[in-house]
Amino acid sequence: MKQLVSEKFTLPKVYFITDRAEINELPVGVPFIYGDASIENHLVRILEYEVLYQEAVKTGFPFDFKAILNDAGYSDNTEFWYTHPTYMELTTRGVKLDKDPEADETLSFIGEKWGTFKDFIKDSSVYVDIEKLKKLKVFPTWLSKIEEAVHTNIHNFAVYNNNMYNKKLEGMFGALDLIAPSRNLIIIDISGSIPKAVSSTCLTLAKNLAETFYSDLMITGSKTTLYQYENLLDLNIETIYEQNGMDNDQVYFRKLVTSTKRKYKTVIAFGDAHGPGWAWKNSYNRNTGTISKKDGQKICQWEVEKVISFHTSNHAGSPRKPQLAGYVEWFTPEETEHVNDWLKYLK
Amino acid sequence: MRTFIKKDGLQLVNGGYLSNMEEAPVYNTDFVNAQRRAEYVVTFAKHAKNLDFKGKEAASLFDLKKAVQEEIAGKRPEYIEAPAKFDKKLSNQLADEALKFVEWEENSTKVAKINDFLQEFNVLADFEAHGLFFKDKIVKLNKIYSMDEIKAAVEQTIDLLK
Repeated sequence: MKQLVSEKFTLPKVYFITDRAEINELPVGVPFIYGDASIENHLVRILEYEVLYQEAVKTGFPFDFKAILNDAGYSDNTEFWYTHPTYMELTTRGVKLDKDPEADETLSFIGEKWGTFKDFIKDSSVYVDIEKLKKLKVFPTWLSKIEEAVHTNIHNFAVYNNNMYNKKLEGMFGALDLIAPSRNLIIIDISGSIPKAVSSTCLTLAKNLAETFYSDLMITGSKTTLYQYENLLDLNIETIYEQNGMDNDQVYFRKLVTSTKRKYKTVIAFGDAHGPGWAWKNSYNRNTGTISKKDGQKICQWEVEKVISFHTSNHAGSPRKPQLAGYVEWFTPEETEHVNDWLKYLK
Repeated sequence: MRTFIKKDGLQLVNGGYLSNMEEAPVYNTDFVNAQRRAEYVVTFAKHAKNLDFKGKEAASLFDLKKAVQEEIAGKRPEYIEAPAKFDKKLSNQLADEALKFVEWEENSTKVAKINDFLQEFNVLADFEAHGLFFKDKIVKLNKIYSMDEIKAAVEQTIDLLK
């Protein structure tokens, strides 16, 4: 366990934990992030961006965040290619593109020739607003003042610690009537159309989210891999882009959701319009055909109570209906929440 | 020729020549290197003492607009006194425990950093505790620094020292 420290400026107080056992040593309320030792520098960078961004917002003046990053010495930032996700509706007859003015119909082939995680973390094409993630209250948060962070975390503890929440009594009553906490799921789409800053930031925080939110983790690229909560250690984000590829998937996803029955309380999905319904063609997806949303929902064996969708194109105030991250389209949740404006496209 | 010299057996004479109490020149490579490093650390601390590395927080236009809006909106009169705020004893105890942990961890980390840094002065601590062998060679120093002086300087500036 160590405090995350930046050489550039003061960060909010957050402890970095690489050993699961150490989480239990922390008193309730202390902000921490859990992950592999190799991501420490990436986490520091994410926190540095957050500090800069929040400071800029606080001034109340318009600002150019990319220029701020350059001024702050991030000379190694790179802009990686991505395609704005296309708004689409699936039909049984094939993929139908909507005539939405924002839609980019020049969607080109998403290859697997791109860089690696350590390159993508330097992507400056978008900024991921971490505040939106913190508002989910699924992990201990960090704030500029440690006292405020501690009080906030104590208040939220019942939400992000599933073992403390007794559903029958609707409150923090510990083990009066211990029931097994419900499992959750986090889906991260790492395909080429997702801005690299998005997928790499989500991957950096993936183990932390999964650990604190008691969730399995699904990574979708050219193939889909499900890391169950017990096997989170198997996930190596440094090599995930190479392992899973950066196209999209139908075959592996379909196999996962149709072969075993699973029940998830909440699914948090980061993605765009691309989902398993498309007839993707790549080395993992050879004999594919278009599957409609309706048919996908029929064959899907997974039960989901709630979906929280982080779609890359959802904006508050947009006249368009909020879009669902593609890889949750086959689920039939009782409740769906759309998170808007969690990405800032930097031009 | 090598001579074993204890803590009070060294002095600087004639403008800084490291000598024994008989004013004969003496030299020990590790000791001299550690003294030169100590000179840097103590001088660094002296200059860093009153410097402000944090600066002043800039005013926020956002906060200013908020304050103006609040003042213009005026205060709503309350006719019935609100009940006293609930005292969250348990939450406060938990927060207190968490903040004490943070303080303890901060102190522990700082102490560990100081101790790590001071390892390069082990030869000086050894000299003060037991003494060292010196050979006869001429070297000039500005001052002989004690471990107490070095510890004070490092404690003051550990966050700035690399």
